[in-house]
Amino acid sequence: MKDYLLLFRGGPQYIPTTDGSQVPISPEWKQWMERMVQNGHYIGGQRLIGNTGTVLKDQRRQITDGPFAEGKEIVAGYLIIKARDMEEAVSLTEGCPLFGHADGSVEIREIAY
Amino acid sequence: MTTFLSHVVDSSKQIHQLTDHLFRREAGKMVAVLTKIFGTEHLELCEDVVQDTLLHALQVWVDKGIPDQPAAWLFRVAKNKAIDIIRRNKHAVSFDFSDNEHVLLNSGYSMAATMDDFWQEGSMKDDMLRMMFACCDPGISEDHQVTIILKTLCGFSTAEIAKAFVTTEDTISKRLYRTKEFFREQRLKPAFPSPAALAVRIDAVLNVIYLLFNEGYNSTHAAELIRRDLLEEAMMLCKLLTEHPQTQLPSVYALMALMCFHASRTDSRLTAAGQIILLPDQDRRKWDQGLIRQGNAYLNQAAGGEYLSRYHLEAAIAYEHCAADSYAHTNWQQLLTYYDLLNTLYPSPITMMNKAVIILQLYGAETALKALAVADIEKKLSSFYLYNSLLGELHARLGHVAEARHYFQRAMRQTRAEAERALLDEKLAKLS
Repeated sequence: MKDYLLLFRGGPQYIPTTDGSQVPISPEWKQWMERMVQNGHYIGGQRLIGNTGTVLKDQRRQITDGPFAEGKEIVAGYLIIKARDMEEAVSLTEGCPLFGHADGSVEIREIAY
Repeated sequence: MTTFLSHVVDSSKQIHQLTDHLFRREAGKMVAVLTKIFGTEHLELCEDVVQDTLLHALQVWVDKGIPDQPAAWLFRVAKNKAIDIIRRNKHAVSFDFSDNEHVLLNSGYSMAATMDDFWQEGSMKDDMLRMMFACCDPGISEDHQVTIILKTLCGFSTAEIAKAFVTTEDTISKRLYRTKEFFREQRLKPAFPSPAALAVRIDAVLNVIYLLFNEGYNSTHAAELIRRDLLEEAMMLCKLLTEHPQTQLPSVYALMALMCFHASRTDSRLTAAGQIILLPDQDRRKWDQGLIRQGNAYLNQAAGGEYLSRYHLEAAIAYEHCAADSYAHTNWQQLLTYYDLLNTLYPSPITMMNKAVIILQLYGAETALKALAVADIEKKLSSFYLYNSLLGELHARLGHVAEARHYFQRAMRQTRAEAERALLDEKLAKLS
């Protein structure tokens, strides 16, 4: 088994509200993730807060708000999963709710140890 | 201005009355769900969430009125508070969310939806049962089991528990503290015991319910002799057991039957002024026939299985009384048979004492006195007011005035219940 990082780009940007009531995408995500939990593939992961970010280049040269030209370039969240190989990791993304959004994409990278 | 203020005070009083019962009932459910989420090691936190939720409800409801579905409203607020705690305390408190049921609470992708699953009203009764089993863990003493159940599942305050068992709030706080410490050390998961362990564990749970009911039925210390709230809580907890497939056991039904039969007589046991009315003088028309019917139904369900629990026999005894249309028509012979069996299977001085009462009916005071003249009974019961009160009664019937006075006076020193003392006073006065 190897660990894989799933980087989600695009889709609805996560902006938390103070009362915690507005959590737009979790039921579908839960169903999809639940299958991975049951099959022992799930390790962990979070959504990232959208719209803002800071990219640092060189020493102290700050580019605020990142280099994001449009939503589909923003990393919206990540998951870490276990899979036999890249092929299985790819197959596990089947049913991922992000694909329901036109600008959504998933980048899969193997994590080195 | 004055009108407005008095309106606020009035409606707040009204809200308090309306919410008192609701809060007590729903608090137990919420604590059960929250401990399932956070684990018993965080019981204190769970209780704080419930407390905050109820306070919030009071503030909002006084202002805006009680919502249409108050329970669902409370659950929603408590759920959001739980979500908040996970978000804010993520790195401060380590919750054990490692198992499959909890692991998705760790991710923002799935936390809210996973939280929703924990708050399904259909599973809350199961959560209460799980918590009941956790509270009756063999590592917790009987006193502590009753205390923690009243606090967490029945929504009693420390002061109310102290009042029900006539001890100081300090003692109750210490008991609760120790139990919570036990939970913290053991990191106990509220869960149904394995089928193999269930038979033993259910006995502890039934015992706590029985103790609770007993205290309500004949409060040993409090000013009120019958504590209806304790009766209700005991029956509510047992009813939960009768409704779950894993705990539908003959002894559970038997205890439920026993409680129905005893509870059916509540209205006839005291005068309006709170004076005791003894069984021969009770107005049997006041006995709650609905409860007696329920008791019969439960007793029929208890008939399965090959294990005769003490609750079966005690329920049968209580049934005999309920079935008799008058004191004179009571089937004493049948009662004696039950007591003999009870004493053979579960020997106890209390059973022998109660048997002596039946012997008194059948064979008179002299024979009853002889039945009580067993060293073991005297040793174990000499500080029990009912034992001394019975001895006083037997001697009184035999015309032994001095002995009767001696025993009544002893009994008097052993009970703090006002109604009991008044009854003993009356008996003493009749002696001369």
